Amino acid sequence: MTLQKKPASSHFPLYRLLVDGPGEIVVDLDGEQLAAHPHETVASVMLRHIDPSQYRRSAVSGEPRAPLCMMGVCFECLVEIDGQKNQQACFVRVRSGMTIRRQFPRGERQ
Amino acid sequence: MSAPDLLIIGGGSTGLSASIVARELGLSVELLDERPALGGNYFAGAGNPSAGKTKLGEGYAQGADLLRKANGPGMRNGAFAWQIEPDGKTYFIDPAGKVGSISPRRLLIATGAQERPVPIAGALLPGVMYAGAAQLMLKTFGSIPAGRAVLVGSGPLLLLLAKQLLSQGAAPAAMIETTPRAGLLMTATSLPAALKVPALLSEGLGFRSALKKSAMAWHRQASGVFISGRDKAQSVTFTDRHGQHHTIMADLILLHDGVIPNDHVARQLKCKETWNPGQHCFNTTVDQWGETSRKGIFAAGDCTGIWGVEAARMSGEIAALEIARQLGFINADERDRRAAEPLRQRARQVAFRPFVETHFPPTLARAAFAANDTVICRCEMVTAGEIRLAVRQGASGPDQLKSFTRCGMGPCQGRSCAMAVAEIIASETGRSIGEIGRHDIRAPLKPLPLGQIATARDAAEEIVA
Repeated sequence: MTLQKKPASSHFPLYRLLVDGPGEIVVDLDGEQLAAHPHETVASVMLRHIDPSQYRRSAVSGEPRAPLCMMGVCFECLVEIDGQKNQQACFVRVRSGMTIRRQFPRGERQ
Repeated sequence: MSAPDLLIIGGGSTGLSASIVARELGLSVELLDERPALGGNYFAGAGNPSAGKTKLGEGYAQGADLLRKANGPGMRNGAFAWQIEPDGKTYFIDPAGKVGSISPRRLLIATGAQERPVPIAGALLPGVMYAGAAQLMLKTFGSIPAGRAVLVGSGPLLLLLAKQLLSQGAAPAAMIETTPRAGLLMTATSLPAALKVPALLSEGLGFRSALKKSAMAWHRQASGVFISGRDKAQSVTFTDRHGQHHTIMADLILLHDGVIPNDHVARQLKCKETWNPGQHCFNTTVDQWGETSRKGIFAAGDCTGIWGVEAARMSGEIAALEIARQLGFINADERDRRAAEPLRQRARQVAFRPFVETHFPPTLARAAFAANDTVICRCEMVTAGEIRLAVRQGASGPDQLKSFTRCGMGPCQGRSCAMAVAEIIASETGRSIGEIGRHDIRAPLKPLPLGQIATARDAAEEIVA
């Protein structure tokens, strides 16, 4: 069985905005464009756009993992941001044009 | 490199109130906060333009005022303090990935609290989060659960979150409370002090009556909780007080079992600490002003022990006053005059805690009772059974256990497993948790790429030396 990153648009996200509105900025998640608001972090945007089972996989067990604490303690939200691996997505604010790559175990491509 | 009178690590209620008082007395202050915005957990998002529109209560509304007063030069967001020397010299990494250092005359650690980690079966599945995470999603980003949310566990924050979600029109599907039935004797011993803080008491009772009127299913005195699902959480199962098993379908499961100090900075400095059996966590040892066992290094607020947000604000002010006295900005009389009121108010808050502690003891988080296949170290996938086996094979403390099992060696550096490890070793060996302690914390306080560390020459020299 190969573990594949599903596109962000095939989703049942965990969260939604209380007051929905068009996002002022756009970030790139594995080639898909996601709308976001400037005060959001990478983790909060991903939690409203993607299915939690598609967030990342553990480098040790290969099992799916997703953000747990949103306060910088659990390190379950790690993603690659603008080429820098293992960034805490809950602490990084989105910027226009930001490139986010989900971290799946080596060798698995979308 | 800069050399302010005071460096504060942490921009929550403690750090903000300390910075306001210290600046007022003429001290130069710098502050490092790892988050993208100031406010910590309690006042997260309080500086957002939309914050005034959310129905999060009076206490939260004060946050905007606190943030406005604290605003000034030297407040750095997205700046992570990753190494602290015994003299207070602090290395940090900024949002651009550059390393810098600050050599303050005094250091105040104000790193707040974290969720008490909950190692139960199924807790690793996506779709399981802590209640505090959902609260941050609401406060900071104006986001609410999209599907069926089920709250599980014990503690004032769980009740508060349920009420906050209700008032936003995002009622949870169910709340499964694991809080045991309050013993009459426990209440009798802690109630008198609690009655001195009637606002807190009535706030708590108010939550319960608002929740009772809602359509949310509310199960109490639950036990035997576990979560099921294949590649994400699908249901939560528990046993009710009559011994009946129930399974509830859920998209988002929000766990909570109280909070514990976020104390990696004080631990890296090897500040003295003691086990607090009432709070079921370690407390950094501080004097009434907040000075730790290391002279010139202060710690205040929930990173020293769980005393609540009001006490945290008072402790920030009290520490700033003593720091100002030590540096000659005010004399002892002036310090005592200014500290009298915050000391009195803090004492009232502290006196309230035993009431909370006896009502909400740890339940889900009791790792001593975890089944052998329950994962304790999320990063390295170490189970309770592997820890028990390692202890029987001679790993007598958390540091030996690390080399036996890699438990605590992953990216979170033991933030999720240290308490559970201490509890399991204690139950296996019959020694006390306080005696066992937790593994040593070394710099860097979180994994950093070597290339980033090397960007600052003086920092790099320190590390090589």
